Formats: sequence, structure tokens, C-alpha cells
Amino acid sequence: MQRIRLILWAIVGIVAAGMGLFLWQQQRQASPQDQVVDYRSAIGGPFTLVDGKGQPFSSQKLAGRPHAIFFGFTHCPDVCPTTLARLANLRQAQGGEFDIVFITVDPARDGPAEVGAYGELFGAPVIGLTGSQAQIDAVKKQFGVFSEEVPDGDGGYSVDHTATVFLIDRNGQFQATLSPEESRDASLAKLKRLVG
Amino acid sequence: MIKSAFPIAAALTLTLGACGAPTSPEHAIEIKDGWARATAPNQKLAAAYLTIANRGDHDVRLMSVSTELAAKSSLHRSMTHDGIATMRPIDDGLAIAPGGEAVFEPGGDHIMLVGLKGPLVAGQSISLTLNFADGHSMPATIAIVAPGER
Repeated sequence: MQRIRLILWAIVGIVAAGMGLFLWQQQRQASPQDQVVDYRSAIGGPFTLVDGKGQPFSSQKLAGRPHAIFFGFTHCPDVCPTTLARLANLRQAQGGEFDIVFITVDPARDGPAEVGAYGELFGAPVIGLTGSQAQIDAVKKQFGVFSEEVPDGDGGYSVDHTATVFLIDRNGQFQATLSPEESRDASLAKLKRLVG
Repeated sequence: MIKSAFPIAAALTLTLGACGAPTSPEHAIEIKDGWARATAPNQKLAAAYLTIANRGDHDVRLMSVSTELAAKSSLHRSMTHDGIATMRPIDDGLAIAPGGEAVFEPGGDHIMLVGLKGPLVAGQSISLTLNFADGHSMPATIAIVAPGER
């Protein structure tokens, strides 16, 4: 009887050890869904466009400084100049420690000369960027930016587009957005946090 | 003396009457705070903003805008919804009720000037003509400001 009991306990021990080993292995190989996803890395990322002088512009050039990116088009009479004027004003209020980047969603009409001149307008340094349709499509996708041409009945068109401003920190990581509908105080607080 | 008094009196009365008539359309509409941002040298379009106050006793309807300074000028409405900015023409004019105001401002209704014949320069003023449904037109003075200013 003693021996049978010993053997049974040994079996229990082995099974327990086996289960422990099995569970430990499970824990080590956590499935992808169990990992914490950093949503911030899903927006933004490196890009290559063309600057106001027609030269290739790598997002590497923005590294080390926080920046605010706005998508628009120069044939936009109201929303785009208004947003850039607002950003220039906020930049001054904040202390000038971030860059303002304007990326066109209308590369067919906005070449280097157009985005370069637009960049000069607002009393603050604005980096105006354009590119090939493929380059613009790629960077739009990285930021989840929507745009659509709308014919104006006169042979021209306006462009409906995402008007959100994207705040990128000095390490190139997306941090927050500015909404066209939010208060100046809310935007200023976010920019102060961006600059740190 | 007496002979010429009548024509003079008549002329004066008619003149004063015309100026003082309370229901004349020109005096019922007040245009104020007209402004626009300066443009870049090769920039061919711009938005102008202003406020129209209807001090009269009946509706007025702004139908169009005209100017010699641009090939085309038209009324547009910007809207931002769910983060997406759109712009559409205001096709059948803008009604202003008695005692009401139409405010043209950034992010909302604006006058779009297309095919500018020259840049808009900060510190200068330009003139636009507002055309109303009842056939009357009025000049609007637009002050040009530096783009970062407003």
C-alpha cells in the first residue's frame, strides 16, 4: 500500500510539474493580441517629399524639433490661410519652439514655387512641401488624411480635406492633434506640452 | 428774389428728402469691418470678409459681389465637420432679415476672389461692390492686413 501511495503521489507530482511547465511556456509566448499596442506609432512616420526650392525633403530634417503638420492646398481661399495664420499666432504665443509644416493635397497645382511662396506668407517660418502624386498619397495615408477634388462648375476645383493639425514631438513621434473647432486655449496647452 | 426762391427751395427739399428717406435701401444696409489677408506675389485667389447689417424693415438678399480687381468673385461657405474642411458656393444668395446681420468670417461664409489682377498688399484698401436682389448695389471697403494678424 505504501508503495502504491508513493507511486501515485509521484504521478501527481510529475503531472503538476508538467502543468506548471506548460503554463509557464504559454505565458512566455504571449500572442500578438495580448501585447499593448502603442497607437501613436500608427500615425506619422518617415516620409520624403519636395520642398519649396524643388529639392528632395526627408522628414529626417525635422528630427530634433517638435513640429505641427497641416495638410491643405494653396487654391484654398479661407480654411487653409486661416489655419496657418492661427498656427503662426499660436507659435508666437508659445515661444517659437516648434516648426510649422504645410503639405499640399493638391500636387497637380501646387508645385515647389507655390508651396514655397505660401510658406513665406504667415509671419512665421512655415515649411511648405509638395511632391509627386505617389509621394503625397503615401504621406496622406501615413497620417490618415482624406482629400477629394470637388469641381466648382467653372472648370476649376476645390479640395475637401482633413483639416486636423498633427503634432509630432522632437523624437518624430506623433503626440496629439489640434482640431479646427477647438478653443485657442486648448490648442496652446497642447503646444506647450508638445514642446515640453 | 422770390421768383428764384421756389426752385431753390424745391431743389433743397428734394435733396434733403432723398438723403433722409428712412426706407431707402442704401441707408438701410450698413457694411462694416471689411478685411482680407495680404496675398503672396503669385497667389491668384483670396477671401474677403465683412459684416452686413440690415437696419431696414424688410428682408434684403445679397446675390453677388463684383470687382475689377479679380476675374471672378463669388460667395462661398466653408464648413468643417468631423475634422474635414469643405467649401461650397452659395448659389442663391444670402438673405438678411430686418435687424439681422450677415457675418462673413474665417471658417464660415466668405467672398472668394479668383484671378486676382495683382497682389493684395497689407496696409492698403480695396473696394468691392455688393449686389442685392432688389437691384441695388453698394460699395464695401476691404482693408488688407498681414496674414498672421487675423
